Amino acid sequence: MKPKTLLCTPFIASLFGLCACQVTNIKPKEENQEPRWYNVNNFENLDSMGGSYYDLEFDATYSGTDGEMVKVKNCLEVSSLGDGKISEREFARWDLLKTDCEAAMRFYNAPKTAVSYWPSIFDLSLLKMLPSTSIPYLGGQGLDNRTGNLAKHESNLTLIESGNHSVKVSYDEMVVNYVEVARGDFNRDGYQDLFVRMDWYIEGTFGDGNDWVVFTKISPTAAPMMLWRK
Amino acid sequence: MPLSAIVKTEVSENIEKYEGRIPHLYLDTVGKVTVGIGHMLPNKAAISAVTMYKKGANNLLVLATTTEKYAEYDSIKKRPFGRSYGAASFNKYTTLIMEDADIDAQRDEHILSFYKELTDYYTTANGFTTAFDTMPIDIQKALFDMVFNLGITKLKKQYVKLNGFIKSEKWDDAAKQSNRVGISPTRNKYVFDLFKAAHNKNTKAL
Repeated sequence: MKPKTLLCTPFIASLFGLCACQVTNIKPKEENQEPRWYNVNNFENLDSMGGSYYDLEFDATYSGTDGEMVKVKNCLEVSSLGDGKISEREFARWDLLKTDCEAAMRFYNAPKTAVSYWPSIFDLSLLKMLPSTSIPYLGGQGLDNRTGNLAKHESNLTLIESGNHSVKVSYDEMVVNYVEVARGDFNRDGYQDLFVRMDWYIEGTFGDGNDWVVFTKISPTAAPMMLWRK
Repeated sequence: MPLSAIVKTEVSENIEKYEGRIPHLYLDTVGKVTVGIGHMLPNKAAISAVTMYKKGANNLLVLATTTEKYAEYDSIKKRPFGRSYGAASFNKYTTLIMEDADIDAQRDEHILSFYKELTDYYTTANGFTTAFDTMPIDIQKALFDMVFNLGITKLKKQYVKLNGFIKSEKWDDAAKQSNRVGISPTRNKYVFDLFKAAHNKNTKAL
């Protein structure tokens, strides 16, 4: 072997090594690119979300505080109407629509694809891994003193039923249906996030409602982290 | 001591305002079979205790049998539910109804059950200056409103600061701790104003 070749060999080898490292970094990202997704079952007779906020149209009717019917056709009307116009007995139903619209807004603003480390199925095992603060907040004391994951904090968590994109459980005298509403890179950091609605009711009371949370997962081994909540 | 008539009248009106009065079975937003004034039926067997009627000839009401009520429960339970389905939308799928007097009786049972929870917890033995029945009327109304949708366990465990201020009868501070999430702003303001009213009456008396 010529001395010149000998001199070049380590350089070329290290270059290959560098390239290999780069390939190792990029490859999983390419493999894990997932399209944004919205649970269209949340809107009746909806097959596709379209590309923008204006594509989402529906017919929703509520009784108003003045006794008249309040009709809304899209999420822009929902956000501009405010809570004061809806009768109190319809408030829980109205609040659900507001949450679905909130998720839709985030869905449209998210990039079309992002790296996802979420399992493809939203099930009980994933639910148990969510932060312990992933419970409906009803008011009163904050949830700051809750640490660990949901399974650890709610040791009496019991599965009631699993749906396609939902898991209904009970704990602490409350029944909570966790509904996966949307997936997308809502905070635009390159990683896909999860928008989850929590439909709750307290057994033996008239109380029911919904709350929502957004989670992120930044590596295959990282625990889900809460980004935002209602 | 019986529940104050003033409190009972107002909480009866409120509960109907919050839940509506629906004489037929329907599914609420989370799919629970419900009837009357927000009366949830946890399972099929529970409907046997509800007095319901079917419309007979000349619109005469005929008492429904348990088998008929079970069939009605099964039929409604299968329907889709969620925010697209208001209570009235289930009417066309039902054959049985409740009479107003039975709905009133059902509502009164709920009120009495919540009253028992309130009087069991808000006692001098639990550290409160006065028992529930001797608290100002405005405070009784406010606590009823809260227990309706929280239940006594959540009201006790989740609203620690609120109960601390109730113990020391600091109604003004209690008002600030009374906010609930997931109810209408009007309803939150109603409860806030009740605590404030108790505070103002207290201040005037001094």
